[in-house]
Amino acid sequence: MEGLKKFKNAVRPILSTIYLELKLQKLKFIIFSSISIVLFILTGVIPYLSYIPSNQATYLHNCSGFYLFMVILSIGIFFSSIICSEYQRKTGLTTFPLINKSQLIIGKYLANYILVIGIGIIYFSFMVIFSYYFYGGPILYTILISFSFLALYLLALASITTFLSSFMPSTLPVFAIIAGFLLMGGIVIDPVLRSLGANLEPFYSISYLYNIVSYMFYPNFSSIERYYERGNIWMFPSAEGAIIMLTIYAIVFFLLAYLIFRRRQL
Amino acid sequence: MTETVIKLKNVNKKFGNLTAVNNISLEIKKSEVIGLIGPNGAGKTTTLKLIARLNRPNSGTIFVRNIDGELQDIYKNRKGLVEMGFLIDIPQFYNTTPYILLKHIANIRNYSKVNIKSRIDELLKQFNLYQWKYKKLKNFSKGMIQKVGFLVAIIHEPELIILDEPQTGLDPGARIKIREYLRLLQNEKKTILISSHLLNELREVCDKMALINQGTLIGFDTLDNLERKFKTKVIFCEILKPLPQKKAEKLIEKLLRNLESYLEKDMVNDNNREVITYNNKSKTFKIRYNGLEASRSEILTILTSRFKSDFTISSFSEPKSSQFESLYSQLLDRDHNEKLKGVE
Repeated sequence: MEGLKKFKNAVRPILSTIYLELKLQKLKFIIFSSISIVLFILTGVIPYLSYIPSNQATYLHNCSGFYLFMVILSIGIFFSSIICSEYQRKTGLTTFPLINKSQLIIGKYLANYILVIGIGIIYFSFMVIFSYYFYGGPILYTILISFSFLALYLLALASITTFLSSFMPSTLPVFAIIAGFLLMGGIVIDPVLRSLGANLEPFYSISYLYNIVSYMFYPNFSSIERYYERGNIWMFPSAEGAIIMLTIYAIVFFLLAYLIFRRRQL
Repeated sequence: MTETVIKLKNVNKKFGNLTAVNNISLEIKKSEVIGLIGPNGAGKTTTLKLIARLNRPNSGTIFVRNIDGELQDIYKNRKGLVEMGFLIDIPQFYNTTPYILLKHIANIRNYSKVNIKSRIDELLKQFNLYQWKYKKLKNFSKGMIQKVGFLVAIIHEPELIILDEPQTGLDPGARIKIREYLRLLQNEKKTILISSHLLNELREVCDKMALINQGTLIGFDTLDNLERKFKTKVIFCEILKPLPQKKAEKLIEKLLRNLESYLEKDMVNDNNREVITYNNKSKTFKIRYNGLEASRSEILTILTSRFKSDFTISSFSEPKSSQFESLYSQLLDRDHNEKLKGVE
């Protein structure tokens, strides 16, 4: 009984933090959900009114490719302020002395993750609806696998952003770095490595890892060629490789974020 | 089992070359209400931030009593400490309502779920914020925010309450309300540490004063003991007719010679502040003496006997309302002078 009470006492602050964070981010969530719907209509409906790809998997693959933009936006918006805003706005003066920092970071992380996943669910639901509209049933089961990878991908990206937020002075540079990292990272690093003759699989590239989400729709995923020797190009990671790398990113960066946050003074 | 609730042992905090807290040692017993006073930049907020673990000391140890009644180093282990409430600096809140904020604070401190709502309502009513219960905090005035900050510090009924300038931005009514509530907490045997530069506010509620200046603790005792320890006091001697400037200057010299052994010794050679001054407008001599009762009577005797031909005294008085402020000011001067002497 004593153990259960201790557990309850440890969980209650986290739940309260999640509840408060969900309340605080409600408006952002509504705005970004609307943006994701608009984005889907622009990229997943209008272009396909006159022509649709030959199969459902290609349609879903194309739609999810555009979703990377929403991933950057939503992760940037929801996670860039997760820690640094407590210092920038000095709200930490009220909360830090009262709550264990591990409980605070877990609560805020989970709340924002729920919201980002929520936006993902909305986008993927539209994909399902319009996939049915264009192709009829049944809907490819691979959409669930793809969504699971998206969830893991968001977890990794959330940890990296939380890590940046743990030592950055304000929200904007965190957002700029994470957006730059995703949009420019591959473009800058890949050609450099390629020019050096290296044909290493770019597991370091967080934008490369996203390709697992869009390629996973193909039921014959495991038999698709992942590496094109002619252009020395890696198309997407293996499922095992993506799971390992994304999990490592998620855990390592979250722990680093926590360690820095714990030592950071206000 | 210890009666001590907080103990600071040789605590230092530096920000670059600036020493914000200089070797402070302080012990606060259960149910004591301690006032931490000092001018702006004295190190009051930094000291409280160290206790709140918002900043880490460069050296020294901070102990807080745990639920087993033992003192515990808060930087080694935070678990099991007595319940604490904080109002640090100017409070900044998430943009939510007082109800949600207070509920959140009560939840994170594992306050009884059954009592949360009634506790919030009771406090909001007491501090005239009930009608603002569901209004966003961004629309609140500075004084209202300060009141919410005070409520955040006490919502979960902590044993130890740390308040940093709780009266800032409050109107007189709200100040009285906070003072009354502090007395109530005092009666409930809570331990309270309040920082302020509003000395009269502290005098009303504090058992002891900790005077801090330039990061150094220069006095920590009851008000009576501090007044005894730093015994300089002031007598105002009002005369009937105003004196010409030159005559007044000559008289001051004569007064200094006659009263020398009864005056505040440290100030006799201090050029910055005269030990005896004359204000022509109010026709008053201000005499800083050594605070002894005997000296006071002797000064009065000398003034009435030896200066009979120089002026006629209409009244003697002592600054009653500002006595404590005068003490505070003298302590800071004394500390400043000692530092100057050290440099020389």
